[in-house]
Amino acid sequence: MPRRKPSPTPGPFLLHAELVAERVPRPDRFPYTLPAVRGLGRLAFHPKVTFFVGENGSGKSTVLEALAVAVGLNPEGGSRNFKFATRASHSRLDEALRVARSHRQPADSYFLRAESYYNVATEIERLDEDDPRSPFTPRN
Amino acid sequence: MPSYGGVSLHEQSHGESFFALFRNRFRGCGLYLLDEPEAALSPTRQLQFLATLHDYCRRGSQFVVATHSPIILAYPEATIYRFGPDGVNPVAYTDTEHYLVTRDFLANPERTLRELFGDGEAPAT
Repeated sequence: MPRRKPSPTPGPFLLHAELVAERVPRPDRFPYTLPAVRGLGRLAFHPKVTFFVGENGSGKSTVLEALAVAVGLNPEGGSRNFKFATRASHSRLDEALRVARSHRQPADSYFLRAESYYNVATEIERLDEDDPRSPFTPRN
Repeated sequence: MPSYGGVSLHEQSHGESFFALFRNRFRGCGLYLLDEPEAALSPTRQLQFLATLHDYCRRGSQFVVATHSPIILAYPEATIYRFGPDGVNPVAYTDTEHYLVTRDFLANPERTLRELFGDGEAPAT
C-alpha cells in the first residue's frame, strides 16, 4: 500500500464520534454498562478544543482511549511511533465507536495520559537515542 | 535542539517533564488527546498550559481533553461535554460543577468548611 505523506494542513481532523449499537458485542459488559457510554449518542467535536468532564469512572478516559485507537495511536499513550505495551488489553470500546474524520491529515498526533506518563517518557528517550541532535544521545 | 531543556524527562519532576513535553514535542496542525493534564501542573503552570494550548490552536491543532481543572476548562474556543448518569451532554463553562464549586468555595472557604464539617465551626488555620 502506498504511504501517503501527511501534509501539514490545519484541523479540524475529528468531526464527530458515535456509538454504533449493532457493533456492541455485550451490552452487559464494561464499558457498555456505563451510563455515559450507553447514552453517548453523537459527539460533535469542536474544531479547536473539546473537553470531557465527569466523575472518575464516568467513562471519559474510556472514550478518550477509544478515540486514540480509532486514529491509530497507542491506547497506552504516546505518538504513532510508540510501540510499547505494558498491559495485555484496553477496553474494546473502539470496536463500537464510529469516528468521523475530515479529509485532513494531522502532521502530528499524541495521546497523553497521566497513568502511563512514565512509559511515554521512557519511549521518547529511546527514540531520541537514534536522533543525533538529541541531548540524550549517548556520548562516548 | 535540546528538546527537553537537555535534562532527561525522568530526572525532571512530573510537572516539569509534562510541561516540557507539551511545550517542545507538540507541533502545529496536530491532533492531541490529553487525559487529565492538570494532574502534574500547579495553578500557574495551568495558566501557562492555557497560553500554549491557545498557541497550538491558532496554528491549526485540535485537542480533546479530559479534565477536572476549572482553570483549563475556561478555554473559550471549546465545547464541554459532561459525562454523567444521563449520558453525555454539552454544558456551558459557568454551569459546570467545576466552575460553581470552585467559585463558591473561594468566595467563602470558612462558610463551606463549616457546612462540610457540620459543627458550626471551622478549625483555626
